[in-house]
Amino acid sequence: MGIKNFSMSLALVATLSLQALADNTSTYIQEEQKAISSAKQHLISATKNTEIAIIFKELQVSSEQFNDNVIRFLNSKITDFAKEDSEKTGMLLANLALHNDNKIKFYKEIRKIIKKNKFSKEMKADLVLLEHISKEFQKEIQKFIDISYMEIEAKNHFKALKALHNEYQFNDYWYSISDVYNENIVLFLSLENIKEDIFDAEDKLNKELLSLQSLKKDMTKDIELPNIGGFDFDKMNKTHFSRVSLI
Amino acid sequence: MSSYKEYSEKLTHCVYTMMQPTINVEDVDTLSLEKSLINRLYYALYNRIIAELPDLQSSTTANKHMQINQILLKQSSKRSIEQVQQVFNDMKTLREWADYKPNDSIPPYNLSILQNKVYSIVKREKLF
Repeated sequence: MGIKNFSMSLALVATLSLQALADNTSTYIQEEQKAISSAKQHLISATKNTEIAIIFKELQVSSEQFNDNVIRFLNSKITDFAKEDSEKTGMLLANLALHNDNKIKFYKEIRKIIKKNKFSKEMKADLVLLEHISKEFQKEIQKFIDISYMEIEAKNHFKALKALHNEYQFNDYWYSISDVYNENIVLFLSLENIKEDIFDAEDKLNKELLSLQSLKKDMTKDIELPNIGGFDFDKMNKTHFSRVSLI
Repeated sequence: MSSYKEYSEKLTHCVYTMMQPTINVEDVDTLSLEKSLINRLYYALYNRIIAELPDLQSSTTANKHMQINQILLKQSSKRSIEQVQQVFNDMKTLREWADYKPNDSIPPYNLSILQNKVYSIVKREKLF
C-alpha cells in the first residue's frame, strides 16, 4: 500500500476553485480510508507490527500535507467558499468531519490493542502524535462548520434587507471571522452611496435585523440538529448578528 | 484636549485629501493605501475620544483601546455615546483586519462612508 503524495496537486488548489478543493479532499479521504482498512486488517492478527508502523508513518505524512494544503487553505477561504456555494461547502465539511471522526475512533481501537500487545515505544509515540493531529483537525473543522452557519445567516439577512430596502444600493456584506465565538457580532453592509443620515439608516436596518433574527429563532427552534461524532451543530439554530453597520 | 482634537481633525482631513482625484497614487498599491486610510481613520477617532478623557491621556496603561470601549459602554444608554462606541468598535474591527489579517477576505467598504461616519463624530463639539 502507500498513500499517494498529494502535495503538488493540493498546492495548486490554492489558485483553484471550491470544486477542485472538494475533489482533492475526497481523493485524500479515500486514500486514508484505504490505509486505515489495511491497518485494521493487520491489527486483527496483531502480528505485523512493521506494517502498522509504516501505515502510521504514512498517515502522519498525509496529515501534514492535508494540514498544509486543505486546512490552512480553508482557513483563509472558508467564507468565500460558503458564500459561493454553502451546500457544497457544507458537504465538504461533513465529509471531513465524518472522516476525522472515523480516524479518532480508529486510534481509540488501536489504543485498546496496544494495551494488550507489545508495541514498540516508537509506535506508541506515533499513535499519540496521530491522535493529537486528529484532535487539532477536529477543532479546525468545527470552526469551519461554525463559520459556515454564520455565513449562511449573513447571506440570508443580506438578501432580505436588500429586498426590503430597495431605497439603498447594497453592494455586499462582511463580518470578521475572528468574531465567530463572540456575542454581539456585527454584520457590515456596504452601500454604494447614501443620501440620508448614516445613523438613521442604520437604526432603520437594525430594526429590520431584529425582526429577521426573531423569525430565524421561530423557524429553527424545532429543527433536529445533525450528529457527527464529536462535532456540534448548535450554530445552525443560533442567531449570530446583533446589529448592522454601514461601511 | 485641543492638541488631541487637532490631531484627530488633521488625520481625518489627511484621509479626505488622499481621497481626492488630484493626488497621484499610481505608484501606490491601492489596497495598502486603503488599509492605511482605515488605520488613520481609526486613530482619528481614538484621539478624538481620548481628547475628552484626560485621565487616559496621561495613563501608561497597556490597553487604552479596551479602556475607551469600557468607558463608552458604561455611558451607552445615551444614544449619541452608543453611536460613538459602535463606530469605535467597527473601526477597530476594520483596522485589525487592515493591519493584522492579510489572509482574511477583504471587507467591501466604501471609504467615503467610513470617512463621513468618523468625521461626523470627530467634528462634534462634545462627546460626553
